[in-house]
Amino acid sequence: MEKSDQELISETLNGILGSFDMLMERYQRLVYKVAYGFGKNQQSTMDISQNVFLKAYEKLSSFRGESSFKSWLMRITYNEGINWSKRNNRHQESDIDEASMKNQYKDLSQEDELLARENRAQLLKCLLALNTRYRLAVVLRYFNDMPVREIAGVLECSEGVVKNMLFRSLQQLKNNLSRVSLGGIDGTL
Amino acid sequence: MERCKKFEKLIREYISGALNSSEQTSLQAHLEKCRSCREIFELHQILEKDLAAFPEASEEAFVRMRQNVTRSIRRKEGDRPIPWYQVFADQFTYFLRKPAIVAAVAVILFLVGFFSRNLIISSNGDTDSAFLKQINYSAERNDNLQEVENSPYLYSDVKFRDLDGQNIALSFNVTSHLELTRKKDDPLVKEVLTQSLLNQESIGNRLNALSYAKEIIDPKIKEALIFTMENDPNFSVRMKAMTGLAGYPNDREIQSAFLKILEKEEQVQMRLMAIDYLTNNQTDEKLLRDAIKELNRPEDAPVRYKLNQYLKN
Repeated sequence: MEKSDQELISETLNGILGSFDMLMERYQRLVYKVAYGFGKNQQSTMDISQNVFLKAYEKLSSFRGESSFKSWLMRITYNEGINWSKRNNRHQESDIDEASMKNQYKDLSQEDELLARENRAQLLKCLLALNTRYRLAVVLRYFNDMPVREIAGVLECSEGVVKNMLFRSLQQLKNNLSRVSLGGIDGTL
Repeated sequence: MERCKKFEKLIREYISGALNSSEQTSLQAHLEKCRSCREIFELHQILEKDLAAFPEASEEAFVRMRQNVTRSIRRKEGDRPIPWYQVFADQFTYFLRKPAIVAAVAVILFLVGFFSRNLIISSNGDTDSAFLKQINYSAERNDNLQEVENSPYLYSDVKFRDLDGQNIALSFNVTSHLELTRKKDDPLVKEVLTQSLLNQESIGNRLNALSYAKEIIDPKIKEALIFTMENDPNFSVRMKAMTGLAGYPNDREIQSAFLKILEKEEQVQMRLMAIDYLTNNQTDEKLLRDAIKELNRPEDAPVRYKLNQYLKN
């Protein structure tokens, strides 16, 4: 049976580093997706993810279990992302990795693939252009299936504020998308 | 517009997954008539089903990232190099979680077990055992510190004894204890020396290894000396490693390691020795001037003075 986060945390605190590795394996993709909003390419995102897990390990003894480990880790990812952006103090263009996008369209015809890739690339670009808190809310909600209550915990605000942020994000995404592509996404807009 | 305000609230609730069925019907009816709300709603649906569109990284990239994290943790906690068996354990733990790999390993172990019986029988009576050949082969192939650390052989309880100026008597534990006589520049001598420099179990053994290491000019020994100088918890060992490094003339890597010592080392003797090397071995003056700028603490005064004197001349 799979061990719970709490069990793995206790084992880690007792010096079993392999248990921390399991925690990392469990949450690496989640951290990666949130960190991507700051790193915007694979290398930088991996660097941020690495820092996140190192910070999490250092602070693990202060984790009291008041929120879920996932929310706590997301909070660290968010803070680390902000710090990383400050350190790198430059506005990055959203240079989306071609390689990482490629696999997602392997089942489509060549023409559909081109269209899908272009549309999704635009959607992602617009998403990455949202402000950090809005972007994090969207990433957690849509790409990590996190309930509003937990997102509120990560962002340290009320559920109402999260709902508002999600709605405003969609409005902003819609406006930005119609600006960059009058044809819309998937021909549906 | 007023009507939209009401439905915006419903869309907010829908996005959060908190809308009852009558509200959903009412929202659906509005969406059919209102393009603006419909566009937002459709965007929500696209994002919901579009999970795969987010850029992903490969499993190998994640494994590398996790290994970097665990190595950093060990280095920070232990302040010592990661032994080869730990690196192996990391890989092993990872592979054990993959059922296909576990199955493949089981088959390989069975085959190895089956054939090894024949191998033992065929090597019976061989004076220079197959095992010794293996460690020699490994020593010849390991060219840098990382390769030595990751070597499948760990040498412990290492002792060196100079025989006649040309040869060295080596004694150490590796699965079984071996005693050999080898030329000083033999790859195995270098390999065992390098590992024993990194061995944290005994300060005496490290000091003993250092006294031989300084006689042998070799890239991996140099790397181990730099590592020891920068990281060994014992001052005498760090100092002796530094003396060994001073035997490599005009070396850029050593210059850069000594510049680091100027900035970070607490022991003033080591910092003064670093200056001696740097000033006697054609170090770029600009690097020295940059180093002076970093020397701001009161205890930096003698070092700063010595460097300034050199630069004035």
